[in-house]
Amino acid sequence: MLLSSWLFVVCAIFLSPLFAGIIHRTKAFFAGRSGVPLLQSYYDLWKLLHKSAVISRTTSAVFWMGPAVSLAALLTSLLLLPFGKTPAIFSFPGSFVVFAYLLAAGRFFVMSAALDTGSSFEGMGASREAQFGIFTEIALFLALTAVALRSGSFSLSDMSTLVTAQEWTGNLAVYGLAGLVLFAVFLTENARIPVDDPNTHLELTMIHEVMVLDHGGPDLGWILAADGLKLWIFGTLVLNAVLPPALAHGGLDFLARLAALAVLAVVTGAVESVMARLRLGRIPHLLTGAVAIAVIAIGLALR
Amino acid sequence: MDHFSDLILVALMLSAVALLGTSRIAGCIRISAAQGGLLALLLLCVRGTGSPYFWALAGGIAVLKGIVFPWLLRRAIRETDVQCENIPSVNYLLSLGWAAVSFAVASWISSLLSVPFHQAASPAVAAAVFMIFSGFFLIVARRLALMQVLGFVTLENGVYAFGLALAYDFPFLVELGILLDIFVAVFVMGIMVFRIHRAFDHIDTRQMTNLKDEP
Amino acid sequence: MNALMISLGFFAAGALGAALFYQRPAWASRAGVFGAVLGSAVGLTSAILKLIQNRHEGLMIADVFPYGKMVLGLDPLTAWFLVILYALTGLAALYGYAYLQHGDGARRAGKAWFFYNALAASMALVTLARNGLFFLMAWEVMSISSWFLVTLESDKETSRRAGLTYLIATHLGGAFLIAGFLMMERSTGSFVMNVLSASPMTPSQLNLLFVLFLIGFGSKAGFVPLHVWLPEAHPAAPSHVSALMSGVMIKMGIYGLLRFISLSGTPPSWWGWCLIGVGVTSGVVGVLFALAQNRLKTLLAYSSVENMGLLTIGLGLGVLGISLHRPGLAVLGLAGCLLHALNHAIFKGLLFLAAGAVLRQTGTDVLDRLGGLAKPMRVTSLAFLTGSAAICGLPPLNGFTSELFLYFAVFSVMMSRSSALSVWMIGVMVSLVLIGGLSALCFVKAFGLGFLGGSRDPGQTEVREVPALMRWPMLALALACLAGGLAAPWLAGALKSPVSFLSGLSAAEVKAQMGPVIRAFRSLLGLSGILILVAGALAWIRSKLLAGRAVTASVTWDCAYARPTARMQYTSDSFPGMILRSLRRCLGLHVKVQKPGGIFPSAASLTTTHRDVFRESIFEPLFQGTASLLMKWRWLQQGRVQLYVLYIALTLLFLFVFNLKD
Repeated sequence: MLLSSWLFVVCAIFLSPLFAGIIHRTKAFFAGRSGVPLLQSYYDLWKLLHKSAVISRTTSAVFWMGPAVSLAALLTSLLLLPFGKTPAIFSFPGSFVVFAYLLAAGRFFVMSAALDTGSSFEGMGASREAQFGIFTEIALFLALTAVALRSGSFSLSDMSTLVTAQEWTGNLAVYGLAGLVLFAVFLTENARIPVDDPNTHLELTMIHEVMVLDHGGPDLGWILAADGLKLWIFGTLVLNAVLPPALAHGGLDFLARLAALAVLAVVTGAVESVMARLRLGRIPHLLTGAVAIAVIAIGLALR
Repeated sequence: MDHFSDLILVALMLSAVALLGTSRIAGCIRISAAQGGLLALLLLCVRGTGSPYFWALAGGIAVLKGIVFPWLLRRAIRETDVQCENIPSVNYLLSLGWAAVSFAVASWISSLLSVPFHQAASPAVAAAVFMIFSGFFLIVARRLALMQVLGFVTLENGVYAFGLALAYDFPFLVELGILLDIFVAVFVMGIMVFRIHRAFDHIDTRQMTNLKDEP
Repeated sequence: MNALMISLGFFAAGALGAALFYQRPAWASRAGVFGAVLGSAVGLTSAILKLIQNRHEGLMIADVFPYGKMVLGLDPLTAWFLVILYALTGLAALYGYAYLQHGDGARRAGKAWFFYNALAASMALVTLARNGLFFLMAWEVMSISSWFLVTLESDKETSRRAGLTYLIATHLGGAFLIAGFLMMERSTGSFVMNVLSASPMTPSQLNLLFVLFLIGFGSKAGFVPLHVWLPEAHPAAPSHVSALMSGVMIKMGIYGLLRFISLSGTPPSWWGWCLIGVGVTSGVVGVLFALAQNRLKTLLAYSSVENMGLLTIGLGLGVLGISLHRPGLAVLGLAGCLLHALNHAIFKGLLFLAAGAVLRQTGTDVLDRLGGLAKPMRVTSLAFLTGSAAICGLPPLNGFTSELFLYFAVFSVMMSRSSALSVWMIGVMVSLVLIGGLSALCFVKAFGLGFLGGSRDPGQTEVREVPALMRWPMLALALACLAGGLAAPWLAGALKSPVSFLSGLSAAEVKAQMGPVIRAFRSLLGLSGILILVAGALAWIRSKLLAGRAVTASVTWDCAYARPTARMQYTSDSFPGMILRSLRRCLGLHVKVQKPGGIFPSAASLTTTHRDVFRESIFEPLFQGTASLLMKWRWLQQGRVQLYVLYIALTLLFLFVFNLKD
């Protein structure tokens, strides 16, 4: 059992850049382009780790601490994450609170690093990230609480591993709604359309991308790796809620879930291709809507 | 209440949330139409598909709420060519936040109610109360007269779902009568919207305060 | 008990020394600091030992004190608050020694250190007193000595104004406490604090007593809307005093409520709901107001209101647990309250000390004039960063541990599947998450604008780090933040005796209820270690990768704009702009814009002012109404001594007749 838990962590570290690659290819398919290679993120990472950096004179040590702490927090939170029936390495009641606060710690440092450049663009990004983050955190907590109430444990790992097939089909509404909310959180946290456009070229409209304008070299490498991991982590959260407890027997289940992650990447690419970006002022509405849906999920779960 | 009707109830609640968060009038009408269809499905789910009487009632609901009302309202839009954006007097953020709070209140109320009904009906009661709340809220918090019609329809859908949740068997004629009443109400309101538009060149109800006596 | 008496003796000696050398500030401050530091060191060791040994001791000071015996007592609750008090007092005193040498603070050293020691000793006596009258006396000494410290710079208008507000607030609160203690004396027959449930008190009397104490202690603890004195008094006081006031003194309000709860047997459940309501309101309102501030120390003061709200949520959950006989809720809520009291003392003390360092070195704490301090003031910045991360509840620091207790308390109810209660608990959980998110926004703003980026004030060129005596206390507190987070399993163990004392549950029961949390803390320790190791490894890899390469220093990317200035950075109003704008009216925010106009636009300005709506809409009308009402009796005041003697004689006569009638 423990072996597959570690296998999941290793997969996450080495396969997460692929997630972004699949999204790119899907978007290229919708746009009728051939698109960048599937492994482009790996090439980018390799390139960045071999480059030097240009660092602003305004900055202090916080500037390079931001990306490192953010990536470290994501890697640590990976240890709390189950993968279907595969338990997490650290499983204890209340682990989902630790999970959420670890992510918050990463975000805190990325925002500080953005403010450290003294650029008004990056200040703008940090400001938006912090304010939208309040909404996503509430939605994340409520959705996970709904699942926790059904599974009878506040451990993130048990929330996925303790669920039986019968329980899952009997409460499809709860798991479906929680998955929907988590998908909204997934899109927001990963700066995807309709919340943020990862491909935009106008700083004034960016949220996440604008915070890291000044980072380069290995620092940007950490950020890219963190982006991939974030997609992987939140994608796993969504899948844990919306997929039935056992997709297949034994090791096949693990592979099936990896395939499901790839499908989720395709879905994300499709959503990005067919939807327009929301006006900035409308983003809180989307997230509050997600909160309202999460409350409904909790109401159904409490019954 | 079986498993399937649970899902329909969830969809009904989601439609109410969507109504609170949608800014386009056309979108709101579409959601309301879907709500009517869902209600008809819920009726068949709860009462069973055995009797032709239920089929007739469900068909009536689906046709009236899913097709006729939207058609009437769309016509009202076309003829009055009002802007396609809704004018909220309570902004969408608060509306959606209110949706979350009101659902909590609704489930609290439904846990207090001790009505005679079979086992797992309480989510249905909560859903119905939530829809009634949302309907009221739409009537109070939107300025366009059209949205008030939609709020009224939502409210009525909530009341109907409440009746279904309690599994009361109304006589056929009463149910049909209610349906007709609403039809007349929506019809009259459609005409009202048109008249208001003719008199004021808009259907913003807030400006009807001009009609009151000057002090 | 003897060691505690010795520590009080040191405080007294420090105060006496400071007063004696009033004319020679250098000696006065040395005497005062020695007293405070030695007293704290002795007291801290003793209090920790007593806490671990779970000792209950009593000491009779005088048999012939008016209205009952004058008794001091020591139990785990007292010991816990003494640990908080002593932990901060000594470090803040060391810092204050250097802090007050700067500027014209030196002149007032005698006064400053006399009242500092008096404040420390009176707070210790507040926690030790077991006689109501003696408690009130210690309470008043605490209020008055802190008042003198707030108005230390009495030549400043703002200081005097803050002092006046504080004086009124503390006396109004004191009046409620006096009424409460008199009521207790009436029903029990003496001022000695005994368990009230044994006394012939009706439930409605007990309820009235609760309300009196809630207002009385709440005005000290800064519950919304009684918080209005806090954001004025804290910035006016010297920073080490702000640290002590915010870290310890306002918690005496919570101590008072806890003591009252421990005396009142099984409280009715509405007390718990009421406290939870007060806590949620204070928490959310406090952090929203903190968000709107542009002065560092005012921001920290409002954030204290927020944290007192968190403490009160924990207290309310605990009381609710006791009254509903849910041991899990009771234990976890009370433990969260107590642990957060300790944690808040450490990180808020740290933040106030760091803010004081900024104020001392730059002469201002207005965020819109600061920026770029991370390079010249590295230690201070590190301290403020640690404090900020801790107050946002980020692992692996200590703020997270107490919040985890509160979450566990909420979960313990949800797990029991009682739906009506759970609905409310979800509300509590959402407000905890909301407070967490808003405080992250608030402290990214405080740290980011104050210490990062470039300096917004062009005149600010030569800023240097503070002297070592100010650096070390900050570093010690920063380390304590980290240690508090890592040592959480053992700290939770130390909480067992006070929690068992408060909840009336056996130690074994408390231990059983805390089990899951302690397990979570153990895992957290592992995760924190991994987090620190991985972050360190990434930083090391980065430095290795960049070692052989040419790292270019350049300007921040400016989007090809020719003349970027540091004034273009985000400001304290624009950073949380979306939230401030949407809550403009609730936050009392007034924005005045003069837009640039014409073909060659010249002058333009933007002014935002922030006023406390509670002060404006509740207290000012109230006091003005009272004043105009009392003005009608102005004719009584003629200014003639003879007439006043007549008043006195008439009053005495009236009382005499009144007494005869009985």
